[in-house]
Amino acid sequence: MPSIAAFADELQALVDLYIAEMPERIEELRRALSSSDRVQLRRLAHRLKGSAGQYGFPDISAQAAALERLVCENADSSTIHDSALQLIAQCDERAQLCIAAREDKA
Amino acid sequence: MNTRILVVDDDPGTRRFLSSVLSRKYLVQEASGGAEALQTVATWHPDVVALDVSMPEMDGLEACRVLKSTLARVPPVVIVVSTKASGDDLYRAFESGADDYLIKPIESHDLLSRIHLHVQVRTALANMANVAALDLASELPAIGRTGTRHIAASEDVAAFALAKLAETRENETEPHLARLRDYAFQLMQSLQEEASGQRPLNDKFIANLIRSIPLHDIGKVGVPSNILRKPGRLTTREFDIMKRHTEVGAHVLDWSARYTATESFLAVASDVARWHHERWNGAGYPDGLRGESIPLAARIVAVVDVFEALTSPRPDRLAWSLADARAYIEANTGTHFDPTVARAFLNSFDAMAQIHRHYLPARADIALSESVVPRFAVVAAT
Repeated sequence: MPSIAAFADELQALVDLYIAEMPERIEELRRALSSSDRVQLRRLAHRLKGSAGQYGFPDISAQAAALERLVCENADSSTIHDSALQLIAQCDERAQLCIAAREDKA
Repeated sequence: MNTRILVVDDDPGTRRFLSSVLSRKYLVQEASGGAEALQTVATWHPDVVALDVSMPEMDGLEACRVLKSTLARVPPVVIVVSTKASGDDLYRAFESGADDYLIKPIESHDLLSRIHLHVQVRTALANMANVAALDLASELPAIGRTGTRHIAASEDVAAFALAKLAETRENETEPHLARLRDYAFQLMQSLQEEASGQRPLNDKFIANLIRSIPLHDIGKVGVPSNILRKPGRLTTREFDIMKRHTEVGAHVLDWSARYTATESFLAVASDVARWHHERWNGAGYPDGLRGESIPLAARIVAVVDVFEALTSPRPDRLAWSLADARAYIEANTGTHFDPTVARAFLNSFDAMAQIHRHYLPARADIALSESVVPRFAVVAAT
């Protein structure tokens, strides 16, 4: 069994990778939003709800859950739009913060 | 032996996280959807499948149903993984044949220890199935004899591992299960004595019930931790979810019984798990059974379980005194409790009080391991 320290490094590497992929997720969200693809939007929000929680970003997870609920409840377009933009802004902000923190350490 | 785990999730990020945690101990493969999962199960034969619920096309519960019903004689253990946590989701997961349930975000220690226990149970059950088949070969009497010992040992390991599984969900520091076992044994002896030489309980019944005791609350694996560990009163809805531990437990034990020799104690364990919250006057749950239609084993456990609960401290209250607990049993004789059983309990109350005092919290490990570990050594050696 690898040491706890080795595992912490491994976890950090996983989080880094997750953050590195954030622009891709944001792009997918934007595309679903601009093409009014609600099925895809719901799916992306659902995935983000699960994965963001798993990687230690409960605020993103909560916002994604809110968006998923709005799409499920068939809320009006502008409400969904606002919620999705908020989610995108949050993803972007958290990713920037993480990258900045990493650079500070290095 | 290399244990194989299949991780199924449509999100690559989540898949990667679970895989890297699990690959520290196990062989891991991934699948991104239900159909792909079924294919991998058929060709790779994983021991455990960690299965996401909501996926496009074939969802997790549908995959679970197919997997449990058609794929193999001994299908893999299925642990459903989901962000949802309502009682209905849980119930649907167990109905589709899932063995356990984890809620995202998942703690890596939680994931590893739960899977470890499931693997232990599965190995023990597989041993039982193999030996049961051997026993049928009457031309091999010598192997048959070893086999019988082997079955008993494996069954106890399975029982213990299952019980531990339920216990890991609660903050148990009290030697709850060991004390319950001793109360029940004392109570059955007292029932024997009061029947003036008739011995209404045979040895087999007594042994089966004693071995069933650790499993009576096994269904609590199906109750979300936030309800299980909630300090104050449960809401009606929360209590409804809590009540399901009786049915979930019976379901798990019935399933286990299918892989064991025909005369297994697991049938008694299932009765106890399902009906230990029934009441003599029919006001209990889950089925509202009344009087002697409640199996005797469950009527016995009902008394000792309530007594143990009252005399143990809980997050929101102190432990009751022995005198108060005694008065409670007395006051509820004939309504909650079977009068014959409750009377036998009250008549041997001094012995019960002695058992209560005998188990100091520090003795918890000794108490449980005494009965299980020596037998486990037999399995490990063969």
